[in-house]
Amino acid sequence: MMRGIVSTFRASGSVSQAIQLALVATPLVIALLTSDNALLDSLNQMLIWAALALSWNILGGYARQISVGHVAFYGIGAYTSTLLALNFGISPWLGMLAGGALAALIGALLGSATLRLRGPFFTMATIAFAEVVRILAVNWRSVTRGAEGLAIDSTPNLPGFVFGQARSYVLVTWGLMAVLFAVSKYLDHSKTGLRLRAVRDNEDAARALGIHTFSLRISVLAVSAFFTAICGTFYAQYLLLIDPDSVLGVDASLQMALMAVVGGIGSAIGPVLGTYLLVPFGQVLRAQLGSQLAGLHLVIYGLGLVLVLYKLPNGIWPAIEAALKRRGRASRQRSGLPEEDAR
Amino acid sequence: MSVDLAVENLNKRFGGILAVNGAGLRVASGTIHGIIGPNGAGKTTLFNLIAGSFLPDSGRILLGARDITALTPERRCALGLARTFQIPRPFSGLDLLDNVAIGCLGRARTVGHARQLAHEVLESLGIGRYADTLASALPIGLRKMLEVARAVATAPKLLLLDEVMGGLHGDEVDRMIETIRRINATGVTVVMIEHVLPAIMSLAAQVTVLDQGRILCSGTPEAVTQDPAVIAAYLGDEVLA
Ligand SMILES: Nc1ncnc2c1ncn2[C@@H]1O[C@H](COP(=O)(O)OP(=O)(O)OP(=O)(O)O)[C@@H](O)[C@H]1O
Ligand SMILES: [Mg+2]
Repeated sequence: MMRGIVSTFRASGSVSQAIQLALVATPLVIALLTSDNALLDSLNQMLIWAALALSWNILGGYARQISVGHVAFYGIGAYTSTLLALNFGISPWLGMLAGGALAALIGALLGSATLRLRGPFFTMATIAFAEVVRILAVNWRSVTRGAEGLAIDSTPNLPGFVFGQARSYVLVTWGLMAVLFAVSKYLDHSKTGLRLRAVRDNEDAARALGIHTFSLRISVLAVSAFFTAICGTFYAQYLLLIDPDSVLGVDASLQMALMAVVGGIGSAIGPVLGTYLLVPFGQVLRAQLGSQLAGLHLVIYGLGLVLVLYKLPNGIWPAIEAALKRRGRASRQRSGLPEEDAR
Repeated sequence: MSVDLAVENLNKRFGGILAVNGAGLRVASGTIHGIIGPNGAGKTTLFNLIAGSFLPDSGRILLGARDITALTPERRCALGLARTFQIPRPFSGLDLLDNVAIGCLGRARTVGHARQLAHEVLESLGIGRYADTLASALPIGLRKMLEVARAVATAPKLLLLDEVMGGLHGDEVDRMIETIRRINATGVTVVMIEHVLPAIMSLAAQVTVLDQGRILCSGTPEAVTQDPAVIAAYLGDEVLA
């Protein structure tokens, strides 16, 4: 895997690589330098969103299957690890793997039922699926305690995945995001990544060349669901309280998709960049305008999104990369060096 | 490695049109078999049925001893069947090498290995110098070659070529004829749809004529081109002219 990542970096331009690494590393550097708890808090929330956008992008970006029900996997992750800890004393570090596996399994089942059909059917099915999971969490009170939610004991301890300091949370969440970034890069440049490119480009040709498009999509959905569920556990351990609204709300599904789309789907850095821009933008707007006309900050947020996607329909990162390529070509021509290969 | 193909009483209807109407076909292992017929005769539809893009309304398709009638295209590919598309369908965002590497994935350990195998395929077809060209930037002649290279990359036993000479110039046609001969010499059974008759004449051991979904006749190229029914249905204008 390490080799895959290294060759991946060599494949793209070196300036582009440097920017990507800097973007990934920046939150870590800030976390190590600051001791402002409010800042660390925002940072942690942003990193969870980045991890979520990356998880969503594995399916939405690489397989181009647009899910707007991913919050269901998030909730499954949060509830599974929390219930295992509360009822059986199982460490969330293990519980999150169980939640991930459960989400992957359910994702695979959902995929087998819906991914064979082309068109928007899959997207619609994900909405219905998320609603079913939410209703289940609200009504299965004997287990989930319904709308009241589940509280996690806040005494700091490492096996229980509870920390006393905000910085510790930022460090582990950053680790999760970095792992997801690496997994995304690896996936994109693996045999699976090449297959996914083929399917995105021309499905009939891909099938004629022996690519099992159906099982490919199901496995990618399972991987995406797995990581989305892991994010759910991180969120639960950070808030120490989960309820259907916080981990199963419809808007979270839209948020993770939006961040990936704004940053640029189908690349590893796109969802990260999209999150870095949208989360602070949303927080600043709420702080500045939230107390004024109700909903004004949301309207402006929405208009901002429309404007970005109108100008840059492929998202922000592809535009940056294109600009870097143009600049690289121009400077090579000036220095009289031969054109670099397309590869 | 090669394999024989048998098609029995195949039917496919699109709305009011019987695109393939009771077609039967036998292709001997290791041979080149030509399929000719006027536009709209159902040739491509027959390929789509053999390759699994559509399922037939009735009839059977056998690859060697195996009944593949109901299999998905990808399963048929795994059994050694490869096809080209009449209208090339390159992965336009990728270069020629990666297009072919995707065909190699089934027999490669890693992406690097697939690219290495793809290089070998491109070299063997004499188009190695275009490896880095984006598929969308290739001229038609090379797009046809891309189709062939990608199909060959899957290491097929049976290769279906749908008008790979269409739109090619004189020496490009000669090169394609040579390419097909060489692929066949490695033991691959070839079935080719072609409007370029001299190419069929020089390559195919057997020719099948299709007209309005039906098999008009089958035989050696010489026998077929002298069949009165064929002359009437298809060759008429050209022979009389
Ligand atoms: N997917 C489809 N849906 C509906 N009708 C179709 C479809 N594919 C082919 N047909 C019809 O079936 C008939 C046979 O078409 P086909 O493409 O097989 O002919 P062909 O022999 O390959 O012709 P050409 O020499 O022009 O390539 C035509 O009437 C065509 O319009
Ligand atoms: Mg045709």
